[in-house]
Amino acid sequence: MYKKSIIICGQAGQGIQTVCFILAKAIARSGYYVFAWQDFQSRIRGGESSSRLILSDEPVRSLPGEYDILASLNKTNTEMYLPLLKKDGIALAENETDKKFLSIPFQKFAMDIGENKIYTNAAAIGSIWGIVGLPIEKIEEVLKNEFTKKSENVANKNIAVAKYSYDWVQKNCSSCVQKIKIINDKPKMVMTGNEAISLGAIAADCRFMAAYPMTPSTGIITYLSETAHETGILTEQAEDEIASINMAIGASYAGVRSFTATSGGGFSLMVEGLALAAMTETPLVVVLGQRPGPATGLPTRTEQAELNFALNAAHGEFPRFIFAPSNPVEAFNLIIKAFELSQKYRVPAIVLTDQYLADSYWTVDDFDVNNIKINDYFTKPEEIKGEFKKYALTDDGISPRLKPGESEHLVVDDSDEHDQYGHITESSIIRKLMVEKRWKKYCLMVDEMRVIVPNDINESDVVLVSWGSNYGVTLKSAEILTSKGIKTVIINYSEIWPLKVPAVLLNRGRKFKIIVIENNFNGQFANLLEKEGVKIDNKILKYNGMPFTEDEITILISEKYGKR
Amino acid sequence: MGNAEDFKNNVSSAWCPGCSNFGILSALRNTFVKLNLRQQDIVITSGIGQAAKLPHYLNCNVFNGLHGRILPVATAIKAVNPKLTVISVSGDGDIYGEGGNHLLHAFRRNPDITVLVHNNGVYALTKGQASPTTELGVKTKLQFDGVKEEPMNPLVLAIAMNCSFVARGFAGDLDFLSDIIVAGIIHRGFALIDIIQPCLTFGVHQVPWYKDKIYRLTKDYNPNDKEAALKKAAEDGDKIATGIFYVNNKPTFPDITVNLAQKPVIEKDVLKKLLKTFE
Repeated sequence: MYKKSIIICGQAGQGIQTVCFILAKAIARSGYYVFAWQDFQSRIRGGESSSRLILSDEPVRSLPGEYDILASLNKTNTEMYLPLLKKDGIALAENETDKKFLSIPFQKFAMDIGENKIYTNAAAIGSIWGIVGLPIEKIEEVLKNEFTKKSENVANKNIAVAKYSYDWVQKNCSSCVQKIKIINDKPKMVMTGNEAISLGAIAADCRFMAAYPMTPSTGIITYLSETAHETGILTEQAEDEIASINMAIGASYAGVRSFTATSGGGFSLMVEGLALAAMTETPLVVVLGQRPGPATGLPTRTEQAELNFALNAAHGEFPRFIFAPSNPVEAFNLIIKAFELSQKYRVPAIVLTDQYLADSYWTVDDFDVNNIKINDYFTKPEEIKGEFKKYALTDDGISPRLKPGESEHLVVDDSDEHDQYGHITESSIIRKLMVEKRWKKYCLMVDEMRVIVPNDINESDVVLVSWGSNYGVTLKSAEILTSKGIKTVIINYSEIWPLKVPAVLLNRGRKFKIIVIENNFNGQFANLLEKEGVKIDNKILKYNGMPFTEDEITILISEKYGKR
Repeated sequence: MGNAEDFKNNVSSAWCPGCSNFGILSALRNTFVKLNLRQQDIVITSGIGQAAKLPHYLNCNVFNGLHGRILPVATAIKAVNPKLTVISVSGDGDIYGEGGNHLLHAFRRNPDITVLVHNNGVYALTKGQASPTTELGVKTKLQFDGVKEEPMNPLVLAIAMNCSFVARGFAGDLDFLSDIIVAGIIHRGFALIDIIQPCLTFGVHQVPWYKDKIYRLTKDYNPNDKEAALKKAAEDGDKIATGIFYVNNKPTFPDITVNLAQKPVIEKDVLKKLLKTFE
């Protein structure tokens, strides 16, 4: 396996994300896998930001503890990130006299070749690419694609500066350049989790999306608005999250698939709307991009502390679905599943993401577009015999559904408790029947959930249980631990609620240890499993706003369970 | 032509006997007849409060949502299916208090919906607290020293924010009210119709008190003149004007007029084309 890890650091406003994006695209176009996580502050200029980029010939979804290459675009940031560099790693920095650096005059190259310091980033891109050792043509291709939209001149200057820097590095530091070949493969896609969710929504035939910008979910409405002319999806930036969810509910009532996306703070404002969707049995998907709370918390960092919130959000009792995709392919597939199931059962579906999934760049081989099946869960007006009852009591709790205005049948919805026609009632007899009607769906909903259990679970020493975006780091940790002699397998939950617990986890005679990995303080998912009777042997929890790295999980487990 | 009876149903009313809401309800039924609308063409939406129960007493499509939150719902219904006539029925507490932010942004967004605000200057359903439009000094069970916050003037606010259609009606002048509602529904854009609706049980003033003060704006009043409209809406004397105060034709939300609910499924080719851009 071939792997190179890179940190690009600097200040907000210096265009680190652009450097990272161009490199990620060029890596994917060279046939390699790439993963890039953004470590940014909630500010527009200054401070300390970094992008972490991993290139490999195998799929990559997690971050190492140490890096091969450090590229600093700002002197004040360098010291902070140096401890993350491997002992034999290479540090590129602008005008450094210290011998531990390869000093590269990024800005001078920008001025000399591009005649403007805005091309400093192109110098950084070219220099890093020189050390990565892939042919410069791929960078040229990507720069051309990305910048020709602005102007041909800008694209050409970017290319010239990048090429000059690339040649300079290869000439002046031949010892740090390790040339590698392009892998001729089907082109891979590079996208964020947010973009995968947006594409999934398009695939799911969503027609309406309203949201209020909030990190880390803003990318969803941005992408859907950008592509609205091609897809015909109507997007609207609402005045607040309350309006967002109520608009999504209105659109759903009117007969289209709709959703909203936010983060914990915005979801707090949405919960009354969630109850409205539940009470009116209006299909609704909500994407909840988790970030460290409470309140404003750490706006741009990552955490998995909204599971309990998603499970319990809103007053009253009602069934709901909760998904937590681990990567873009799952995000694409599970948002489609969320739309389908929400339509089928007329309950809200919440899709939990986090900054790690939402804003990272991931490589995607392909989506299975041809096998997407979208069902029409509306009832045909001509199939309604007699009067239409929006909340007809049925064996499975699912009533017929019509679009208002489509036929002479009238569609009546109410947030109050209502009778079968949808009109207000205070009858305790009807109330009881309606509560039971809403909950009847739950038993069927459980059967829709999938959990993958490894075949060799009973031969393992350790089972790592994770959920959502920790899949990548858990998988990698299991690989490392197994290679160290601790046979480790994983169960990653991405279909969370209704909770399905594999019998093997409940087996009291089991030989393996169950360790749950989570980005929160309390071990919210572990507690959920314990409530269902699973005995958890250990929890590894991280709640400082940063994602897990491969080494920290493996070190902890090796120390405790390794053969001495 | 239809008949007002077509819009009646057998849902029993939770309003106080003799409530002026009944008059507004019958004016609305007559409006639908005048406009030759069918039951299925109308979606009548509401939030919470006594006024918000009105949709249940009409034979139409209904969405009765949350307190203060009906404008976003109504906006999206109209956006998805522009063929529907979308009306929101609200009260002063619901739309000027709880849902105030949505009202401000509805002025800006300008969805083609009509909003009727049953303005009685009191929170009646919660048994008599002050509302955003209760007059200064009025004593209530909760504001026992008298209301200290200045009442808001929704018409001035709406005109100042270039609301597309601004009117005031009176629950004691139903023919004129019906004409105003007809004009509001026909008007393309966001129509705010504030209706003085005296509350029998908790109201400070009753219908006869208003009858002496209320007058109709006449034909020589020009609703396209914003300055004059602001002045008229800000009048604070013995007389209370009713009628169409301000009309401002401007683009509506959204700027498309397709029925999204009837549109064929998004083509897989569109998706495949978008995926290509990620390579």
